[in-house]
Amino acid sequence: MRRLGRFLIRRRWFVLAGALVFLVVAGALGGSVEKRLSAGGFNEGSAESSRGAALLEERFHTGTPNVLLLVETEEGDVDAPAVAEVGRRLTDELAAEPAIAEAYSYWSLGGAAPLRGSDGRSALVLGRIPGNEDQVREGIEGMAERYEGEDGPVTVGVGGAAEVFRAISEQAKSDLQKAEALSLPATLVLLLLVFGGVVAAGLPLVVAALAVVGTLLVLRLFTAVTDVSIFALNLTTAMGLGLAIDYSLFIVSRYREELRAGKDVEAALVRTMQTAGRTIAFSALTVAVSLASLLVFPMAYLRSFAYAGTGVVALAGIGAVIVLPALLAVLGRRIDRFALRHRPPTPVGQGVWHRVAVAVMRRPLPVIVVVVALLLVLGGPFLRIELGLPDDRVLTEDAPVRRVNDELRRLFPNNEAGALSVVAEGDVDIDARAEDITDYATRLSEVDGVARVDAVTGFFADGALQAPAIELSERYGNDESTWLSVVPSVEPLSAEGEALVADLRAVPAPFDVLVAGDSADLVDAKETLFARLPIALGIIAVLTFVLLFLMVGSLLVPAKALILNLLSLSATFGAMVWVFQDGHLSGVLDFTPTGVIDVFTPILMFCVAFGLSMDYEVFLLSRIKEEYDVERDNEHAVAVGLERTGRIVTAAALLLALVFIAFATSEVSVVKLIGLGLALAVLVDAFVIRATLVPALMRLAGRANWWAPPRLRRLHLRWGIYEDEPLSVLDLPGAERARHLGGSPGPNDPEEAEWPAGRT
Amino acid sequence: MARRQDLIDHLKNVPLFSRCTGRELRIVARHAEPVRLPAGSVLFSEGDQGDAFFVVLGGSADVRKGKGGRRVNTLGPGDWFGELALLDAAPRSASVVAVDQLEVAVLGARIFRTLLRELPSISERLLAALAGELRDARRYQDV
Repeated sequence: MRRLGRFLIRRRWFVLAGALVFLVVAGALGGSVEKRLSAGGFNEGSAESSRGAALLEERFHTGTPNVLLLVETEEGDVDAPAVAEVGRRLTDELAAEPAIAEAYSYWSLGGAAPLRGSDGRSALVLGRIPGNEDQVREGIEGMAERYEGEDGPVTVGVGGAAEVFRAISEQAKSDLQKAEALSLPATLVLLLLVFGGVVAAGLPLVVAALAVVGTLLVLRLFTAVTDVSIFALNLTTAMGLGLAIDYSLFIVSRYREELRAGKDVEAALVRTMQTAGRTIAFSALTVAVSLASLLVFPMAYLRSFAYAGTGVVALAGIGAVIVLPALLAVLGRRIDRFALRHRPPTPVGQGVWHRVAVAVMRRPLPVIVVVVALLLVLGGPFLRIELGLPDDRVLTEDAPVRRVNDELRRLFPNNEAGALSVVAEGDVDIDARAEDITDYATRLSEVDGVARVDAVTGFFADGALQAPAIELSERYGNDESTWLSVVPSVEPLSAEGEALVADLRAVPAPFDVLVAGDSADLVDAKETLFARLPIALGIIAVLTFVLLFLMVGSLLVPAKALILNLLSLSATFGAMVWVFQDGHLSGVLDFTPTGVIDVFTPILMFCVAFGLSMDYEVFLLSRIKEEYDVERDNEHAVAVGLERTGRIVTAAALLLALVFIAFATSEVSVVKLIGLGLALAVLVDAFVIRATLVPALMRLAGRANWWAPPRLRRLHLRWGIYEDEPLSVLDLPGAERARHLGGSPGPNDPEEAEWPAGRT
Repeated sequence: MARRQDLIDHLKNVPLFSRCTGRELRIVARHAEPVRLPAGSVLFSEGDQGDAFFVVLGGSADVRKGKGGRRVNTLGPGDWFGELALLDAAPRSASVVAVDQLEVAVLGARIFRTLLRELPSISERLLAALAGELRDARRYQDV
């Protein structure tokens, strides 16, 4: 770090020019990345549901209908000639849409009862856009504008999974722009206050620009080889800004501290690099590890956060450790130009955080008991977390697609659009095995939660044939094979929907089958996520432990950091379940509780929040360790460490929380949850954990904090991370680091050599 | 790596590290900073606060004391100096000046104390050396 610091000072213009070139190139190449990003990536290709859907498309050119027109009339019923005429026309129009592969309706099927509402005044037109999530997303574009509204005697509303998906992504996109527009001015004001001057406040923005624009280039490169989710952009901007502020604050504070201590610009900068620079490099590594663990999941959606997260952390780290020092070298003491105020620093031992630490350490046990109890109570609801997939109810009640789907829930007890497909895996001769198919369909229709089973041999409900095969039934079979459609009577994306999938899969089939559909997607996604979760957690725990051990050289401190992090995160998750699953505060926050939490969100939040918490932990522990190494006094080290990092971590956490809280203004409840959850995680960690549990536990453990078995201590001495010490001899004129040592290696037999004398 | 090995080769011939195992020498070499100084460099002056410990790898240095800078000793390859001010945190008891081009391995105060704590083979040798000096000092007193 010392050499890097000197290099950056010597070559500051070169470094800055390089950064500028990088920014321009990354902007030019990565700027257009959004077009190449995918709105999907939630499914895994090898899951049963995905294979079933692919087979259905390949062999039968069909699948679950994902476009739905709700046709309602105020005049008479849906069989009135004028209404029927419009209904048939709408069906033809929909079928003629280039994106639509098939379309049918109550009217085109000759008055199919399941497609008529219970009030007799509404009926459905169903259509399907084939392909992956991106093709569906592109295909649905503009349909709401074309079909929604009054059409002669009827009112048309557009619903279905494709429109819900489009509405959620559109809303999320505009909400995020709103959130950024809201948080930016507030962030700028806070930056001015925290950095104490116009010039200084501009520095984190430079680092943020490098991190965010650089990550766009990283994502652009990834799009050349794999699918990348569009949601990765949101993580990029939020974390890019957040980490740039964190890291810049750490560097700038230390630099000012060294200048105030009387050092010249060069010495102050070198010392800053040796201390804060090293801590940041290390902290960026721990955050990156936490985010990279998302790579163990096969879904492109989660993997994209790993690409964006590690990219943005690495670039924010490089920006803060390489570009920022070069900027400081150019600015010198002008960093305080246009300063808002010149507050003299509080002398060591008199700061608020010092007093907090001393007070807590006076009564460690009661503090631990009370705070842990509080966090456990907060975390309690987490134990009953119900994971699901988001549906239209993540939108507010006045969203058009939400209104349509709410009407569907009210008027159509059977969920036609949520039908599950049971697809034969191999070849099936439908004529020879008609009896087997009928038997199987009958058994499927007996399962709880099934409204109706449609098969090539007829329509089945409650374990009996309801109606024989009609022309429509031919779609369930061809020369090669067959499939069955199972219409549920339960909400597809719910615990009942999941139970239904399990029950259907358990029904003995006459041939190998694959169960596909929305509920099956949910079941398979959960299975994959839960199977990989322990691996991701294991990687995070082991690597973080190893990294922290390399930093502090003891066993207890890293273990404690991990446990405290988990405690703070479970409290955050508990609060999130209490709010978003149970629906408390749903009025204030304006969302509809669906009784489930999106299955991807906790995993994503865990990895992001864990990384950010570790970030603060590393800042704090590195300073405590620095003090402990000098005085070997545990309590003193904790109090001084907390005091020295107190202002920085407080400011950084508040700024980061502000960036996240802006997300809570979103009209999509999943985005609200992520924003509030991460803000809460950061605040709990920065204030509750840091102010109470860290000092209390450090005090209680005493010297044991720093213990490690001799073998590990040696290992740490050899490979651990040590702070560069300031060596005055290196500042002497003509002093240089010896690259090659001259002369002989000294006396040949050291045992016999004369003892040197003249002690100093 | 070659540079690190070069440093290890030099260090293992220093009496202070003679009882170190290969692994311990690698630890010392990892933390030591090899520094080359021109003749006439004042490594530190009497009364300074100590921030490092030095082992002479090549060249020579004078130890000077008092107002006139009376030379009390000359140090050469294998000699070490600077530990007293780190052990008791008192100011430097003498000045050290490079006679000709000097090569030293420098250990920061903090890591020096850590190594003494963690590697008894070094602290024992250091104690033995200090004991020898104490003996010499008493002998002079008796005379």
